[in-house]
Order: sequence, then structure tokens, then C-alpha cells
Amino acid sequence: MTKAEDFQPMLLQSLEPRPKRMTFNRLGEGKDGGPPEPASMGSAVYTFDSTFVPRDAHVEALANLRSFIAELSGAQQAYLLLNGTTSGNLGMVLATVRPGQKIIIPRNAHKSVLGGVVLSGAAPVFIQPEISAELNLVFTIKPEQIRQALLDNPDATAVLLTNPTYQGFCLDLAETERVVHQSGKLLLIDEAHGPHFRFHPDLPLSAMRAGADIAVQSTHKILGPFAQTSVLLVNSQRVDDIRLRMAMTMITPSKISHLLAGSLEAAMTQIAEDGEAILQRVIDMTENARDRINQIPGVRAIGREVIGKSESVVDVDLTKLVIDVAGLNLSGYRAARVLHDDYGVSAEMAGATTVTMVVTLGNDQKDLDRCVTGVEQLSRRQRSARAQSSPLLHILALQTPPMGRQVLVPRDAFFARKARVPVPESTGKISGESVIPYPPGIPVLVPGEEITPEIVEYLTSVRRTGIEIHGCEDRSISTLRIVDEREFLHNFGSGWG
Amino acid sequence: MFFPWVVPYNRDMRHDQSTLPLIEALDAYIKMQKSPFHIPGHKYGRGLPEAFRTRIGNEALLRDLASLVGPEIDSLHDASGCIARAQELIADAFEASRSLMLVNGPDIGLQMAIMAACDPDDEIILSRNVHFSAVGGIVMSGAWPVFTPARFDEELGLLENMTLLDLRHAIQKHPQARALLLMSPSRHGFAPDLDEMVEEAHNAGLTVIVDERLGAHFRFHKKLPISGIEAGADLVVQDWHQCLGALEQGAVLHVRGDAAERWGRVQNVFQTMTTTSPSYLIMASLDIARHYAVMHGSEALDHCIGLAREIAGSIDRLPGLNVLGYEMLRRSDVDNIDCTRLTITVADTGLTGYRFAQLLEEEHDVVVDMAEESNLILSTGFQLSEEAAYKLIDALERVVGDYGRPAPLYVDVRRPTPVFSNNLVLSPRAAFFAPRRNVKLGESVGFVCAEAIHHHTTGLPLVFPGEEITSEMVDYIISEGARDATVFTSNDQSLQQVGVVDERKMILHRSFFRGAAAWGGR
Repeated sequence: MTKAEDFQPMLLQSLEPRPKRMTFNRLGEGKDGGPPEPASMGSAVYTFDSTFVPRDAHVEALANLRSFIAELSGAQQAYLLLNGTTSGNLGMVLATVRPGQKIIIPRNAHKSVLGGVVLSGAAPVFIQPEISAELNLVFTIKPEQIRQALLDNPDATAVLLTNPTYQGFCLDLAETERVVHQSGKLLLIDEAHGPHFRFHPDLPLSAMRAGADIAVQSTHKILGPFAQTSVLLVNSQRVDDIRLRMAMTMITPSKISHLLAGSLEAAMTQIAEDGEAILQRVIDMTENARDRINQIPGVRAIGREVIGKSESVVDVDLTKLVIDVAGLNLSGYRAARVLHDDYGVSAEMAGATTVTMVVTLGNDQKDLDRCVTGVEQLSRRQRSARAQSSPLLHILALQTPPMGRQVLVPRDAFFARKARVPVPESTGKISGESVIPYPPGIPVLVPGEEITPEIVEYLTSVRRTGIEIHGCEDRSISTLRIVDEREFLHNFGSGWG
Repeated sequence: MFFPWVVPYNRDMRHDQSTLPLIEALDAYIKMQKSPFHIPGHKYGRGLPEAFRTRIGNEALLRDLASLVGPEIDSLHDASGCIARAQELIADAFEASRSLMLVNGPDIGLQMAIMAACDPDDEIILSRNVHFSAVGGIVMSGAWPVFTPARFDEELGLLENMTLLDLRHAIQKHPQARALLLMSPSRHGFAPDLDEMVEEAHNAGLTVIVDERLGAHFRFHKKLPISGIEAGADLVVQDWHQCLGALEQGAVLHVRGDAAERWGRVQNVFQTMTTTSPSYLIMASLDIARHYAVMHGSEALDHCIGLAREIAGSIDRLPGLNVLGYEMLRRSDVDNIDCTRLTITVADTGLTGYRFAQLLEEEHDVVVDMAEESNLILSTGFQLSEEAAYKLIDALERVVGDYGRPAPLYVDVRRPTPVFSNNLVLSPRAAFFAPRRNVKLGESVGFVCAEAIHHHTTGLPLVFPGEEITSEMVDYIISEGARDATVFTSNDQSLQQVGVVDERKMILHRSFFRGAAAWGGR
């Protein structure tokens, strides 16, 4: 294995133009390996292409990059995910959970986790995360809940958790690891928003350091490579690494983008050389902005104090700027829109009453100044306008109904024939799709679950409120796709023959 | 350059194909100069090292954005703005009902198509010359592959296409089959009789998937074989990096027909398999590629077809080399050929294709697309220059002159021939999840393979998970390995070990057996 210090970046070097080479390996090639037609994107990106490189050279360079990332991340092995963290979540579940086996996951896991559950045929056991009534945000999960879930489901195979959350809230990973491994299960972490944790002591505990078996990171979200560039890290004796390799071969394209892989090499080399200093600057900038925003009337930037107010959050990612705008009688969605349209500040995400800013090594002080000024102006404008209370604030009182019984595993529901029925007629039927209200972003229905009278009642009242519904086809939520049970039984019968 | 007087090939497109919706949206967004607090983390490239930034250029760095940036930039998962318009233009240009941009390459696109067409336990008819990524689609969907007979032409050293007759027999034997997967054209650029096969399949109620990874340009020139959509196929996957000049992993999935149920399934599968942070660079390159193909594709193809013919003529005159051309049309498995692709048989030079390709690359800096035991496969570029063509012919001539020796006339040099198993014991999905142990390749005969073994250079699947490993196949793999070809398994790339289904564990493990019935063990 390459030591991180004496890593020689080979991939970008192997992609240096070789003017003498004549390639006859693809039709869609313009002059000098550029695009057939120049456009505003420039032609340099087109030269980062494996067709210009001898096969052995780039195979070696990719292997070299993988072992470098593994070493740097404290893993035994790293896989490049050039189809985003989504593919990592798919592969991770596919490789560890067999059809019909149980996997414990948070109810609000990323949709690719459910995608993995569909591909593998696993039976999900859901844990409800803590919701902050004050911030109208989803916090995270307590180790106690995981212990309970493992007691209730001793036959579960793995526990897959999201850490940190989108807003940078972290669960007690060390305790969780103890609980999960004590009962002999696998701990899989969707660490999409935490690829930087390892590289600064003031940032939360990273999955690899905590002893998780597999972690998937969206390197591109925080550390610099091009969008869609992620990695999967493995550090475990418990994982069947042959099955993992088989699963990864399946979900990875045979011809990967060397543009994305090259950007990963450039970004990780930079982090290996100077990661802590780079992140220190980001943390300082963010902390400074947080302090300044907290001086502005009506708004609040959430920091470490949140730890004391939550049962599940034990640490926060200091590079996230979560701004609570409830004091301005403004929804987070509206605030994000105004900041974007009028003040030139593009947020990553809006919640019911919060706006989330992702501050990274690509930001400078000017960006943060502009952000603080934008929030200031927003606050001034909102207070002077004597704006009306935003309707969103009322609906949050709406209680989400308890989950319905899981009749089919999501895979069976995914492949089953569907029918569309009006919501009031769906009572007692099996849902064929997910229904995820935002806020809070926790599904009320997952494919394969029974639609209870409480859920029907909830969906009927939601329609009048303006809560946004995701996951299902009919966004107005007047109809639902359900599993066509007769058709299903028919097919199921034939499957046993 | 845009010449308004050049009339695009297809005259009945409904949309204005001269626009670039995604590029225009990105350009407009950049002009707004927002402060970025969203992903990706490099923020207009500012977080990337200087050397890399200089090399890649600011134009590209600024355009690597993410869906959540603002309402101006559409989302691939739920397209309604500029991405939806770019996809409409693609569908319009190819006469598809809908087209989806793929940022994860044709392999995953093929898997999506298989999962959209097949439910668990459905049968899918396919030939052995498909791309090995089909294995993933079959494992994930839980389908049962039904192989049409594999005919290996020993003289030319290539695997033949599925014929209409093969298809008819397969349908007769498997009337329950749900889908048909065709590779058109083959690796050598030979297209089967797509028209009639699609009709035959549709009459039998099959969903037709065409893996058109090497034929995305067919639509733009009348001398080229018929395209999958024009032949009436339901799901067509194209590699736009290979054929139309998009960035790597840029591909397209076309859907034809208006069955709402199918479109719903395609969308579900697409959303399951596609990253939620798709690369705008790859998507933008698809937009540019579509624009080029529609506006200038037919002229460019005119040029490169003409030049390719000249090259083929010159190569044919070289001793020992032969380009497989229109004489292929006499065969029942070939209906038309892609003349931008050249298959050169090198057997008479006494060199293997693998060795020949290696010599071309090492000594003359000439790179071919694929090498096989007795063939070289080349693709001419859209903007191939005459100078490059001369250099190619010169290099070929010199390799033959320096290293070639006439093949002995009477000694029977048996070419290694892939003999495929005809015993599928478990469904590939069941084999993937089955208990497994490793055995040495030489000792694996008779076991049920638990992984996929494929020929790396050509992407040919040799053993599907669930198939019995035959002694002929083991011989073939060993001999190919000795001839500088690379055969890969998903597990051990040096191919010392093969994962096989551990039958004893499977029987002992009664709980597993119960499960096996549920996931397709027969």
C-alpha cells in the first residue's frame, strides 16, 4: 500500500496530452482529442479521457489512486464511485444484505439507501429519528434506539446510518459502533456529508476512525473534486469483500470518467498535503460568520449549543451554517429564495424555518461577507414590512401518523403491478410508492407498507397546507399508486411453480 | 460554426435543434455571479489546486454545478426545465418517445433497461455476444437468461450475431419470455436484421432492448445500419462518448412507445440507479454532442465513411491483412455493416490480434479500439485526417513487414474457441447471493459459478453466475490468458481463483434454502 506522504499522482500525469499518438478507438472524436464542436465549456475537459492513455498506464494509475485514498482515509480499501454516493449506497447494501434479511435504517435515509434495499431484496427495519420541534429539523438517532432495534430484531444483518445529517448533526458514533459490533452486526455509514471529518481535529468523529465497517463519502460535496465524485471505504474483517467487489463491479461503469477521477486525484493530493490548514480556514470563516449572524435580530445561526438541546446530537459540523429564520416570520424556503434572487447568495438547502449553507474550501471571506450582508438585509426588510406570519409555521403542528405494517419488502412492491386510486379509497391497500412530506422529510409511506386510516387522514389534511410532497408521482397527492394485489398474487403463484 | 444553409439529415424534427438548452442555462447562470453555498465543494473550481485549474480551464470549472443551486438549473431526477428541454431535443432527434440523459455510462443504462423490462423470474432472450454489463442487470432484476445458440466463426475468429431463426426457436421454446436483448451493432460493427427481429419479438409480446452502444450515429447517415428506435425497439441504450463525442460516462437511454406503465417503471429504475448529484459537465457534453450530430453529423459521417473505405482498400492490399467488408452481408447474421468501424483479420500474418495491437501501440503510437485473437477492431474518428489515415496504413505495413510471417499452411493451428455452458443451474441472482467458496480455476470444472467471468478487452461475458463451469471454457480462459488477453472475474483479477457456489453449505443451511425459493432458486 502506498504511504500517503510519498504518493505520486499518476493519473493526471498519464492523462497529459501525447501529441504523437494516433487513436482509432472511437468515432466521436474531434481534432486533437477535443470535442467535435467547440462550445462554451472549453475543449480542455475533453482531453481527460482514457482513450488517449495506454490501458496499463491508467489501470495502474487508478489502482494507485485507490490505495492512496484508502491510506489517507484510514481504510483497508477504497473504491472510486464516479456515479456518486448513490452507487455506493446501492453497492453497500447489495453486498452485505441478502434477499429477505433485515437491515436497520433510519426512516429518513437517503433514497439511494432504499434503492439498495430494492436491489438486494432486503427487509428494512426503520428507526424514527428525533425531530426538533424548535428548529423544525430532523436531528438524528440515539444509540439507545439502535440497541432497542437490535433487541427487537436479533436476526438483522446490518445497521446503516446517515452521519452526519444534511445539516451537519452527528450521532454518538463511538457508542453506536460498540452497540452494533457487540451484537455482531455490520455498521454501514452513509457519510455523504462528512468526507472532511478525518482531516481536522475539531470536526466530528469520522466513520473509519470510529470503526465502521463500510462508509460512503460524497467527496465532491465538501473537498473539491467534480460533482458526482465519491468514494466507498472499507475497513473490516466482517465484510465479505469478494461479494463487495462483485457488487461494485456491477454498479460501476466499465469505462469510468477519467475527468472525474482526475479531479479526485487533484483534490485528495491537496488534502493530503495541507488538509488541516485548509479546513482550519474554513472553520474560522464559518465561525466568524456565525457570530456575526447571531448579532442580527430575528435570525440565529446554529452552533454547538444545539448539542445540549437534543438527545441524539452529540457533535456538529462547524463548517455548516444553519440559519434559523423563524424569528422573521418567514419560511426557510422563502428566505432561501429571497437570498438567492435578491442578494446573490445561493444556499444548499431550505427547511421549514431554516436555511443551510455549505461552506467549503472553495469559499472565501468575500462570499461569507456577502452571506452575512444578505441575511442582514433580509432581516431588515422583513421586520420593516411587518410581514404576515408564514402559513408553514402552523402546519408543523400536524402530527405525522405512525408507520403502516410492512406487508411486502420494498423489492416486491417495486416490481409489482400498480394501480392508481384516489387517496380516500386507499385505506388498507399496499402502497406502491414513497410519500415524503417536506418538512420534515421523513417518509409517511414506503413501498410495500399498508396504508392505514391515520395515513389517509394525514394525506387528506396535508393537501390543504402547502407541505411539499416528494417521492410519489402525483405531487398534489389526490391519488396514490398502490400495489395491484390480485395481479401480484397471480405472479407470485407462478413464481413458485 | 453554424451554417444555416446546411439542412440537417432529418427534416421532420419538430423542435429547433440549433439551440443548446442546457449550455444556455449554465451560461446564463454563471453571469449572475451568485455566491455559492452549495455543493460541489470546489465552488466554480476555486477550491481545486492551481495546476489542475489551469489545465482544465475556467470555462469548465464554472459549469460544474449541482441541481440544488437554484431554480434556473434543472434537476436530472425530476427534470422540468433546461434538462427536460435538452432531453426533448434528443428524443426529437432520434424519434424516441422519451430520452433520458445518463451520466453513468451505457453499462448502467443497459442495467436500467433490463430492470425496466423484466420482473424477477422473467425470462430474457439474449445472445452470447452481449456486453458483460448485462449480467448486472440480470442479477439485479432477478431475470433468467435464455441464450440463443452461440456460433463462433473459427475462420474469422468472431462470435456471430443472433439471427431471426435463432429468435424464432427461442420464442418457441420459451413462450413465456418477457424480453429480448439485442446487441446492434456487434463489436465488429455488424448489425443483425433488426427490423424483422423486432417485429417477430413484438408479435410474441416481448419487450425489445437494443444495446446500441456502438451505433448512436446510425440515425445520421443513410448508408449506416438501421437504428434501434427506427426498427421499433422499446428501450435503446447508446454510448455517446464512443459514438458522438460526449465526455466519458455520457450516454442516453431512449424509450419508444407510449405505454404509461413502462415509462413509470423506467423512471423508477432511472431514479434508483442515478446519482442525486449528476455531473453537469457530462450532461452539457451530451447537449453539445446532440447539437453536433443533428447539425453536422451527416457531413462528418460522409467524410469519414469515404475515408474509411479508402483505408479499407489500402489495408486489403497489404500482405496478410484483410478488412471484413460488404462480403459479410452474405451471412445470415449480418444485415448491414457500420463502415466507420474496421475489423481487420491478422491471422495470416502469423501474429495474434493481441500481439499486433501491442506492437502497433509500442512501436508506432497507433491505438486500436479492441483486439481479439485474430482481429483488430478500429474506429475512424469524425474528423479523421488523411494524414492520420496514412500513418495508420504505414504502421500496419511496417508491423507486418517487421514481425509478420506467413502462417503455416498445413499445420492445424486450432484457435481457442469459447464453448459456453448450456447448463444454467441457478438464476444469476440466486448464484450472486448464494454461499460461496473459492477454488482454483483449473479445478473449477463442474462447479456452479458464483460470479461473472468476462473477457476484459472485448467485454464479452464468458460465464454467467449460476452456470456450470465447463472444461472447454476453462481451457479457453487459460489459453486466452496465455495470449496477452485479459480475462477478468469480478473477484480475482489475476484469475487464480474462481468463486463457486458452495453446494454443501447451501443444503446444510436450510434457512438459506427457504430464502432461495423466494429469490428465484428453481
